[in-house]
Amino acid sequence: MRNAVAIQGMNKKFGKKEVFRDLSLAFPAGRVIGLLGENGIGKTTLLRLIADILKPNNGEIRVGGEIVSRKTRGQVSFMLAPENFYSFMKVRDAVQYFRDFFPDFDHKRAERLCEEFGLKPKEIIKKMSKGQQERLCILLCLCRRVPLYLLDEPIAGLDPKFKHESIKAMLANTDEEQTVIISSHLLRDLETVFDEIFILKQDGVVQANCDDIRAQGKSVEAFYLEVAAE
Amino acid sequence: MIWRSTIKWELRKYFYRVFAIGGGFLLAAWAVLWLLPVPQAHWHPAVDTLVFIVFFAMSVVSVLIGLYMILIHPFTTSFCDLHQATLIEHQSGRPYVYKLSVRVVLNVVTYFMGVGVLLLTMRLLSPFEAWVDRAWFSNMLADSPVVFLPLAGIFALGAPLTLLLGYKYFDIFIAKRTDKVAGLDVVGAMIASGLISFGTLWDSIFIWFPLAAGVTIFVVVNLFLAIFAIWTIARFIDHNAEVQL
Repeated sequence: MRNAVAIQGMNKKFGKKEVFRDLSLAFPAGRVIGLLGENGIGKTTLLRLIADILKPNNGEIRVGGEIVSRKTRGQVSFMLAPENFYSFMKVRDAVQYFRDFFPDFDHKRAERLCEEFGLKPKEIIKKMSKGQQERLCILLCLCRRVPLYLLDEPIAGLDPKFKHESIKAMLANTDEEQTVIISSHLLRDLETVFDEIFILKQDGVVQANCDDIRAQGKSVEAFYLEVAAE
Repeated sequence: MIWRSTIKWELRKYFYRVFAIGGGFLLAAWAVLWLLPVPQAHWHPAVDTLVFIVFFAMSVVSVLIGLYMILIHPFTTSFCDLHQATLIEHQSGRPYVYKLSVRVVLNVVTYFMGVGVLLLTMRLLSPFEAWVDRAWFSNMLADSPVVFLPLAGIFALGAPLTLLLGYKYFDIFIAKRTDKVAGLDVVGAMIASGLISFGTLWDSIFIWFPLAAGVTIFVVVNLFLAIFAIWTIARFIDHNAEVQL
């Protein structure tokens, strides 16, 4: 199976704090992957390393077979936080900004998702609710046509209706060639979304296929809790 | 497209901050000064002294505000500004170069604007020299080439340095912002932050300082107008009293 991301012998330290030591794993391509683990274990750091926002101290990270560099950034759509935009931008400005910066940005898809997500083009970002801002971030992330999407806690601030809408959009806007890595604690909401899960632990990584978990009559959440307790 | 977008949003930010706020105050101050009659003689010594004290105090405040804007402001608030949209630029695989270039160009433009505004402000103040000849305005006016030429020289060096070193240290900078350092290469991050703030520092010197001076002038002029109005009314009453006598 082709890998979307392959990490080999990677170390990452923040000062004296060691986040990853000799981490090796591979995220398969064309899957929706749940990146799980307790708070502070390094889920966000791992996503940032893959997106080339952070650099590892040692080891290598490959995206689509290429070592992570400026060149691979074009293959990755990393979900930004609302504060990464100019606060006085309107929704349509943010969409236009993305359109200008990313040649792979699908403007028509953005317009359609704006309607589905209930986002008004003339609304100013800083005046929107936290949930609306998060919806905008998901929208902009998904409207790029890239092989790999990285979403860090994408639905944490959303109400049940928009959680459902966002999950639907995630599934509808990615095809079998594209890989989605989602870091989240909301396992019940994403139960049916994940194809694979990777659980980060202090002593390593546990990988599991969600179909196998379900075949055992367990939920992803129950499986995660079992692994976390070990 | 990227240039267009970057220029548009940087300009818009500058517009809000500089042109709207600073320009508004300075225009108001300019209008008041323009309308004010040019005085021909000293007032009563006590009023002279009072005006001088007010001018002097406001000048001190102006300098303090200017120093704050120069020394502290670029290293606090401006970080957040720089962070806005830079991650988008980073993700596009063209880290920071567009935004930084636009900012450097804007720095050059605002530098000349700032100097122009400052000179204009001092020029407009010249009618008041009769009262403020003991204040620093007169000396500043006389020494302006000595003050501005070295600064222009340093600025000329600063712009390419900002571009080159800011670009080089972008990754450390962005990591610092996104991970709040967390024990990262703190020294490197601080150097990067300092260098990237260099451009903003120049904004501060050439925009915020004149702006602070402009605000000061605005306040002083209002105060002065109030005193002038009271004095005119008093003279008018005195004159009428003399005529009646």
